[in-house]
Amino acid sequence: MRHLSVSSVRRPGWVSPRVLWIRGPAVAVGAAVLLLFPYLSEALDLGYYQSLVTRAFILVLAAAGLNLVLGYGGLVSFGHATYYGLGAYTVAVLGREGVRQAWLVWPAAVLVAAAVAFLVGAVCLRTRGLYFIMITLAFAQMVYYGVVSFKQYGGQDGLRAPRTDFGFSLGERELYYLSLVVLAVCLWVLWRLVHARFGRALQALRDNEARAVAVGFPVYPVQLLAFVLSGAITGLAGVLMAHHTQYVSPSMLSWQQSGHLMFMVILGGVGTFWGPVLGVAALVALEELFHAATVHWQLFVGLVLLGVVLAAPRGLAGFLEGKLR
Amino acid sequence: MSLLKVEGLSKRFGGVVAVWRCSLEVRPGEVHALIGPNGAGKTTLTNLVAGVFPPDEGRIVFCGQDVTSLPAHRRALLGIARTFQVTNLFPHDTVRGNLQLVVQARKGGAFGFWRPVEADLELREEAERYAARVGLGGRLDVPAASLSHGERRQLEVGMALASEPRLLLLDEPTAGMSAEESRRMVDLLRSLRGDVGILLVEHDMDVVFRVADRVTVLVDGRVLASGLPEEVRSNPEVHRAYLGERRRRGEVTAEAPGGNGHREVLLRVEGLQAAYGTSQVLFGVDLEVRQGQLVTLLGRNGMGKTTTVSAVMGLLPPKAGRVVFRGEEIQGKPPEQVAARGVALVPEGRQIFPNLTVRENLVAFQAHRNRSPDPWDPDRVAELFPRLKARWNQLGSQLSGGEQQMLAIGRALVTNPHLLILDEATEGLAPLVREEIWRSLQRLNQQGLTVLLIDKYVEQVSRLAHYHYILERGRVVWSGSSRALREDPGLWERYLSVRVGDEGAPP
Repeated sequence: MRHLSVSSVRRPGWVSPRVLWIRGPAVAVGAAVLLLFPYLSEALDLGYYQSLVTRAFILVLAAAGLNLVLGYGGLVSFGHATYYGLGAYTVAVLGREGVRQAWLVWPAAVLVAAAVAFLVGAVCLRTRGLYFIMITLAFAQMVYYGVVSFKQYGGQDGLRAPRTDFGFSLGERELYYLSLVVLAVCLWVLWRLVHARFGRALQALRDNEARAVAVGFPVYPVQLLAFVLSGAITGLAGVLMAHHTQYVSPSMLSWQQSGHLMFMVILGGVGTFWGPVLGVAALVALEELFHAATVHWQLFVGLVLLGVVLAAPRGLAGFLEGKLR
Repeated sequence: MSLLKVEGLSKRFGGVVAVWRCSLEVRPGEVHALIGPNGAGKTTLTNLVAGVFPPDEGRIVFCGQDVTSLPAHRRALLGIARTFQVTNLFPHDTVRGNLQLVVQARKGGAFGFWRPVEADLELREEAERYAARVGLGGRLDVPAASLSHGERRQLEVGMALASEPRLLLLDEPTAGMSAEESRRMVDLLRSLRGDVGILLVEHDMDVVFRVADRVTVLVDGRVLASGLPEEVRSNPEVHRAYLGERRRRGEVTAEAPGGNGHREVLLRVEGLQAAYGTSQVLFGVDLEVRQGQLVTLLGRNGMGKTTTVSAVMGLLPPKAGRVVFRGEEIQGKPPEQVAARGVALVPEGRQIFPNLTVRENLVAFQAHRNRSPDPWDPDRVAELFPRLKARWNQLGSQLSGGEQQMLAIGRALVTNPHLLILDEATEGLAPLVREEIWRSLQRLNQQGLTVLLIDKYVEQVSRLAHYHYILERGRVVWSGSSRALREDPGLWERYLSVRVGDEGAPP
């Protein structure tokens, strides 16, 4: 009986040959394009697009960090701009104080984001549902106004963020590759994480908390760890963004920024692994398209998004999954 | 030494005492049945032992260790496993996935960060072993949400076993099961006796007296009696409070008049076909409910009873066929429009609003759909079910199963429907409460309300109803009056899995 079930039944992770046929070459072409993109864009004199794609990488990283709690944990954090902004501000503030060594600044920034996520999570995870949303938002607003009140670090006006020192010159092309590598490594780590015991427990608690507890999973430690990891990854995205724009402002910590991150995750598909990638790609592409055509571009982006959300309740990833099976 | 010892346990919800100074003991390897009327505190006691909420007073000792203040997940890891009264699985996960999570919790827990669980052959194999043990070996890759009701209950038990518990808390494991399925469950429980201590909450006395080593009777949150099954069975107090006297059953026997040919047809279903996704369930159901009748829909689990009423209500759009209600075709209409025309459904599992009080649940649904001169309102429901009156301002979630069922019926009544449909209205209820529900349905019917009833207690409902339809694999295979039904025992065995001699079999 067991022999039969293992050999003859579709196993999890099973992919139909048709999908493999599409997937194999598509992955190879995609990887080649991403690796050669800086040279291509420079050859074609489209340097702007290199910068755009770098920004997209960074947003994917932030969205993927949020997706760990929002999607896999089922915890609607409406304050993830906090970790994003704090990661970026750590780079700027240390830069202003003359600390520019990458090996110091990067870990410090991620640590700051993780530590704040720990404190916020430790309080918020004692609540559920609507209260969780409101209290994460409340903490985010506190941090926002806290940062605004630091006049020596720019206050409302923001602050210049010098790029950190890697021992080689960090130009636009190097930043592109750096973001790509950081994103790839983080996605790989996240992939392992959500498919390992920890990810399974996190999703079990999301799907049925009463049962998961009865089975023997502890709620609080699992969710708190997910929250901290999520904050750290989003903070890392903030660090990269500070390098990208070379400038940080309190708007990076605003609730609009939190909403923007949530929107990218929801558009792509909450709790799907590739959702953040698809969501950011779609949003960035739409913004570019309509921005070039009309001054009222936000209206049209909004309409398209509304359509997508209505037509594909499980986001773009859910929509594509349905098509490719 | 005892496996589980509960001493002087009390728990109040709001002002209501759910459990009052209860003491009981489960010895290693014994099956200890916990019986009692709905609202007696059986589920509360189970939840206290599992650690869902802390007791107000008293002690819980497990294997010599005081676990009173230990959180639920720690108790689970010590070896207390449970099933839930209402099936409670990870719906998106497969059978294997559900079981694998349990094995994972026992072996190493949540904090593995790198190795994919899919590659963990030990977890997989153990999960598959438990699936085979509860008879789900061939359904490993089926998502829990797609299992039949009986299979879900099997998976519930499989998950409890997979945690290799020393104490198993089973909250009505046979609720809603067919006779065949509950026989299999009894066999499984018997095979566990000796290895695992079991605290069994159960309403089916057949099951209780077949497997229990000892029985404790809970009434109004207090232990009324405890001891060997024979002692408890012969205890007159227990009879009065719970089992009910044999003769009293006869009270609900007012033989209903035979089918009334010349009354107006209220609901007519013709050639109804319906499917969930690609799996077709109904293959052409034909039936009629006439004004003032009490009609039943019978058949084994999975034969299409719930699907039929879902299709009538518009909860599931039919693929083909007609549904005519009061002369108007209503097939394919959305449920709210069907309800507005005067069809009220009391769904399986009650589905009352847990965060509204009894009164609010009723007020929220009040409507006047049949324009009768004497409409139902919340106060009249309180007269029909005095027990609800006593709980008037309690939240829905704090009610016992029987009270929830009464509230669900009351909620349907205050919409003043032409037709009341009840899906398994007595599932998981104590014998006396079942009688109470049936009696009130009979009274409602005598007052002129038309009722379509799905129920598995064939014998009892055959005493109330005028006409019966038996479904088999999505078709009506038999229909007839109560007399015709009762005179044909072959019918019972063939289509209803009821053997002569079982509870619910013809006398």
